[in-house]
Amino acid sequence: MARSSEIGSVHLGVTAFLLRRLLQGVAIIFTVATITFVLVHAAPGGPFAGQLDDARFTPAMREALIRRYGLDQPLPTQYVRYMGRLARGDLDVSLAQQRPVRTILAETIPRSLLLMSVALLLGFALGIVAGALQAARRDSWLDRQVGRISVALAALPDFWLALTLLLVFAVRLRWFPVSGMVDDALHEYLSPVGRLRDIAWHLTLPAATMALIIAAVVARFQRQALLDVMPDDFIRSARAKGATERSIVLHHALRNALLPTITLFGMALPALVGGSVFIEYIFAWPGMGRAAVEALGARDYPVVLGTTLVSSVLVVIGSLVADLLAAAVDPRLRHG
Amino acid sequence: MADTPAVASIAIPVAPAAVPSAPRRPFPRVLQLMWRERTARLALLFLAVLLVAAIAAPWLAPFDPARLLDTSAGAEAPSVAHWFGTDVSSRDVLSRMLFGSRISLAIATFSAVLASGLGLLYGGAAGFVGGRVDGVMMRLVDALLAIPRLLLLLTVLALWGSVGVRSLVMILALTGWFGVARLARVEASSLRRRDFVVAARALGATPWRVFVRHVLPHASAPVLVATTIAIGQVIVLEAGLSYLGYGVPQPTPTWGNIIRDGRDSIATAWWLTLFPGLALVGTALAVNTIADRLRAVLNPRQLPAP
Repeated sequence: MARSSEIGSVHLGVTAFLLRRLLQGVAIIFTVATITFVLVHAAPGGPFAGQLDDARFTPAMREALIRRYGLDQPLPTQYVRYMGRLARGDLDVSLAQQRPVRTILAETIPRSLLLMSVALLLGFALGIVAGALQAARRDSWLDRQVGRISVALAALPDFWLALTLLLVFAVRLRWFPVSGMVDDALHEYLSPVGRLRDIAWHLTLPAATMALIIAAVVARFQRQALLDVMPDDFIRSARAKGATERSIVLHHALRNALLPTITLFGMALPALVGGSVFIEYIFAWPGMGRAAVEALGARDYPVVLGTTLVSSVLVVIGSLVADLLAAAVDPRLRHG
Repeated sequence: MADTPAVASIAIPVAPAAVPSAPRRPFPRVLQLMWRERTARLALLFLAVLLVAAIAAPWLAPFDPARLLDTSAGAEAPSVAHWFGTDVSSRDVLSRMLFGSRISLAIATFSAVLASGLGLLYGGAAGFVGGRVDGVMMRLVDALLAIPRLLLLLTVLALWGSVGVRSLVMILALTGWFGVARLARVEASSLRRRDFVVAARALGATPWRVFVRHVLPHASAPVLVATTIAIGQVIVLEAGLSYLGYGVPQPTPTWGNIIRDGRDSIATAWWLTLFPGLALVGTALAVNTIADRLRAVLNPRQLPAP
């Protein structure tokens, strides 16, 4: 390739790469929406089985429900209408709460994102540090112990770890609150700083639960990724240059070993969102996952469906972010 | 979250060209190689004991798991009579756990095997047919993998209402085959152009025969590892669903149901959370260890020379 066009082609490469990923993401979300449509209509009795059988529903109300959702229309028409509503961001109305699902999600998603992002940051930081320590002192006592702990942690069911931490640190030791996001009685009367501290105090246990499991998985990946790059030429050069083992791990290997961890982040997202449902439910964190579980109890399927759809969108956005991060860390991806 | 490593290991597609054909080791040899490592040995022993306990539950259980022993007593702490205590309805926890292990293990094994079968068929077909059909089929899998499995399960449960054990196995299988489909697709599409497959087809072998005789054996190693991992995941997942109250309906004892029974009295009756939880952790750990070792044994490049 001619040298003059190289810079241009690099830019084109990044844009084309991102554009392709974006289109893939849109296609995935479109397919997810179609899957949910099929699910709703494949359910025994159709979307309003519970409501239509309810004796309290008068025939007129039933009629209105059917007309409102176009259940008397042919399926393709219903499908087009359904997708049209989704495209406008209309996620239907909650059956139990009588308000738009969009409003419920707008309230709960930021709380879920707060919990997840704190847990992710903590978990990745802890995991990368642990993995780097293990790789730097390979086969030492420390390596083996940290390895054992992370294997055990990664095998812990998230809901059980949450219950155990709750039992020990909230119920027995009373260091942290048992549930909720704020102190219901006091929060209103606190100063802005006091309010933040109140939220942080409530956030600690749920975020720590998620972070511990994330860290365990990240540490295993990070250790292996570091050991994988250690035999590479650039590490040998650094060593020949006289760099200390510590600086080799920190400056040379870590940067190169970050890629598998970022890829891991993209792939772990669905499990992470799923796991947050349990954590939110157990610690009564008023997020999206808890809303879904509560809606499930009321067979309030629009809320559950909305949560599922939005979670999938979050997952798709998350993997896009992971791709961007990977491209930022690894020039080969940018130029390739 | 506990299933993250599995998600990652299933989802990483191996470069098709670089993969050597999976060795076809006879099963006794595989077991022998597994047995060589201490942790794998412990894990196998643990699972063997658990399996025997599950099968022999009616003879081992000191009490009837459904009997309300002393309705006035409430939950009693572990004692000589009740090793793991009794629950709020005064039922023996050890007996319930023994009977629960049957349900938990059966659900996990059946649904994981079923899911792998589905994934093999789907992915195998996609990779084998290739072209546009393959593209469309795998984009569907991409979308299904983007939906967090737990939320997909909750959606299905919300729409269908309560389900029995058989439906639960079906639902878990139907939401668990996507990863295996990807694995099988990689194997099948890399085999499609290999000489021996082309030769088999030229000789007049039906696609089904080629699939069974050539694709299946080659895909068996990664799928076996993925199935093992899936068993561990589903045990935890089913317990989680039961904990939320949407797994196996009460009063059937499952590990998750016992933990759920103790959720309101967690501060006083800690044994209702601790013992079934330890059983879950031990099983998940054992299954993961075996999967790890199985991966190494089935991939000869990871083993030191004998």
